[in-house]
Amino acid sequence: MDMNAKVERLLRLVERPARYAGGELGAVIKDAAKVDVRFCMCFPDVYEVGMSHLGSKILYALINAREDAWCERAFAPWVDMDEAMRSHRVPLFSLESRTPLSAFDIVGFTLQYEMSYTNILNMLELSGIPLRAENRAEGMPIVACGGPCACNPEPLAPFVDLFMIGDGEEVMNEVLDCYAACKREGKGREHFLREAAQIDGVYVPRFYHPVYNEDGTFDHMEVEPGFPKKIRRRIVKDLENTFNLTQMVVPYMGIVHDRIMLELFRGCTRGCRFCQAGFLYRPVRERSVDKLKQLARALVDNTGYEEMSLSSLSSGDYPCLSELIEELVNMFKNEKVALSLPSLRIDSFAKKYADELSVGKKTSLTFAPEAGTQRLRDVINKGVTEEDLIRSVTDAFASGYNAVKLYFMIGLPTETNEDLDGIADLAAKVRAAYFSVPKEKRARGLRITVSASAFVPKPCTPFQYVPQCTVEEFREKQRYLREKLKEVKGVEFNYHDPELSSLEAAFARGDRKLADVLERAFRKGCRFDSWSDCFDYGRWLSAFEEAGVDLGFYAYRQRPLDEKWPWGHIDTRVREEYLQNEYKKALCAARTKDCRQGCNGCFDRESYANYCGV
Amino acid sequence: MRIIAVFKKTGGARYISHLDLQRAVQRALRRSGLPIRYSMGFSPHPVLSFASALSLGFTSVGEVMDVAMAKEVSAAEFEEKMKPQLPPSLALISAHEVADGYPGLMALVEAADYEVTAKVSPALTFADLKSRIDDALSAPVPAEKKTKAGMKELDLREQVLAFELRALENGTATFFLRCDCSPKGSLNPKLLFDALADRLELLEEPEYCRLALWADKTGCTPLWGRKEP
Repeated sequence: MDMNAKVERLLRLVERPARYAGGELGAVIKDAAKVDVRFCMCFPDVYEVGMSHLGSKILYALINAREDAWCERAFAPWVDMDEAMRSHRVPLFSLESRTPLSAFDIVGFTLQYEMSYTNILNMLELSGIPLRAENRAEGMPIVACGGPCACNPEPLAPFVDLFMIGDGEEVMNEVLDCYAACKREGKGREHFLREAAQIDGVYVPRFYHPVYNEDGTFDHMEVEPGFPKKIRRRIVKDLENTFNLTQMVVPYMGIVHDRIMLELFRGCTRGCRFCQAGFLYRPVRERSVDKLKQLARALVDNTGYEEMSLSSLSSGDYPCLSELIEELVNMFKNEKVALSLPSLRIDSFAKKYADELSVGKKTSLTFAPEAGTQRLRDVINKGVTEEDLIRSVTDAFASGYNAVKLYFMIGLPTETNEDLDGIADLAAKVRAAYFSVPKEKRARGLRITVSASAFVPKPCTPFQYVPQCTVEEFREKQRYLREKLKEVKGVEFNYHDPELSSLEAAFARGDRKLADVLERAFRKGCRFDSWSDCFDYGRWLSAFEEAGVDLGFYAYRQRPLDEKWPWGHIDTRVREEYLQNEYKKALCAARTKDCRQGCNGCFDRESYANYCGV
Repeated sequence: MRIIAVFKKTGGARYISHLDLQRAVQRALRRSGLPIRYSMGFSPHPVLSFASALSLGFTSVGEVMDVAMAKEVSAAEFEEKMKPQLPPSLALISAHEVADGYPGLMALVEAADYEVTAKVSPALTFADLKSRIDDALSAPVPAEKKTKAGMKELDLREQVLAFELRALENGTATFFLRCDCSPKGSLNPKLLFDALADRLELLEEPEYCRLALWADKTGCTPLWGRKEP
């Protein structure tokens, strides 16, 4: 039976077959015989989640813009499809041509969150690709990874042939050029990897060997001669003139972010100390209003989407935001394309925008004060005040919104019960703000949702030194906060599984020893760990135990300021002394200014000169 | 005015649910640049309806949609602008102009034709299989249907308008079925073939393809062909 018939048979057996059927508008079909490089872009979660990821869309279009390459897609099959594929012996296949992944030149995974790692192993196993890079024979695909979690590649290092660090637009093309050249010259895997390791921003872990101290801490990296000691994060200097996204796959089934994402800028100037993205995507690089209008027009024409979001780490900071919104509203008035601003920061939200946005749907507004008191917000350098929040929600209520979501983190460094009280306090004040709006002006049916996630200290941030709260401490904080919020009428309280967060913390700042834990957990059946119906903490704990690895050592240990990092060979271009200094400032609740108001000196001199200070 | 258009649903498109199909067509309409009419209210969407939802997994060569236009649009222009916007698996077949006062599709549709193919026992000849159908339809074909009042016993024959064997080649039988398809009552062909699977000695789950939807029970009047009252 050919692959097509096998797949067709499976599609009849599973829920939501559209996840695996392919054939969407914008899916690219090429003649496999006419390309040098076949690349499979893999997202280690289900279709609905993976199809919502902007980075994968950009790289898909970028690779397919090359004549010598064809990029296809694969996602993690949901549990029912996984079972069906195993019992019918059908390997994981690409959506476009239904080609088994093992027949690709390069299989690329994006690392968006740590708890997707078991899915990567599962997808490799379903493809018949050996999990460990050292076991991959000549002719097997190159397994490549990129994305934010690649800033600490070590827990995945044994499974991955090559990491791309930083913005993908340039380095991806360089890697493909290198691969195509090696293939033409008949050079094999090992040869390609040796050459690729010389590309700026490429990390090939097989040439790097970690050395540990007796107490288990990391000492240094033995780098084989001839390979770069530091792998520098790639930065696309000019977002305006890089590859720009104008076409994307439009899915049939509903996905999580089912809309055009117009990327206003990359990076963020705020400097929130908990935020890994804020440190990993520096410096801020903007697109002009003209460019964005042009891209928006092309995206609407090419996709027919009915909704567009202005996306970035902090869209409210876009200098010409009101001009842009006005232009876009006018452009798409007749086509009924709704605009939404999801990550709008409260301090840059103005009533004016609320009115302009009424062309779209009045859904709930999301605000992220992150911490309950001004003291703690200063610790994390979240430049938002209570007055900002209350003014913004009052305006929103007055212009017809009735639902507000408030996002907080618990377990932040220096947090006390007083800070948790502050969360309940803020919720109460938001409620009061609703009732302060005259009855005839506000929409009925107030809904306030307070969401408290468990803080996970991330590498390459000023909080990389701090211990995470233990599962018990988180439980106690959640219990305390739930009681406090009971006193505020009509508030819905959501919180995360602290067990999951503890694993996230271990893998975020883990070293290569975590790879064994990961493989054991996978062998025990762990996958889709970020889905609560699949998550099994017991299996994970026994994987740690069997591997002889202490979860607490990675999650709950306070690191000294002079700790040597297992990811120290990855150079994010933010100076270590800067992170140390930010950490010290955090402990005394000292703010660092937004870098639009002047340079704070986070970059090394060369990166500053080349990418920022021009 | 409105356009009634016929389109296919084949290949991967068979797995598109009714709701998702609606969205895909709305997006195709927006890409086409046609002057479509939008609904009023907070989230305006194109005024669009379908004659009958197709079961997930069924293919079709005769699905029918109804699109309201804000301005006069000829059938030819509709075809020209929409054809490039639909993937091959949702290919547009034809378009027909109707006036705003013309009845809605749901009020018109009466019957549906299906082609059903399945592997049958190799021991059966064409004549054998033909007589099995006649036998099966000579007595009530009971089936249970969930209704608001609980489970209800049905005789599926009441909703069968025509049922015949068209071909038997290499063990694969091709059946033709015309059955009721209207808001008052519809027969899902799967229900019938599930009930008859043993008697027809089906060896596998059949493939269902909808051929056409009709504005009468005899298959003479297409949905856009009703004479004005």
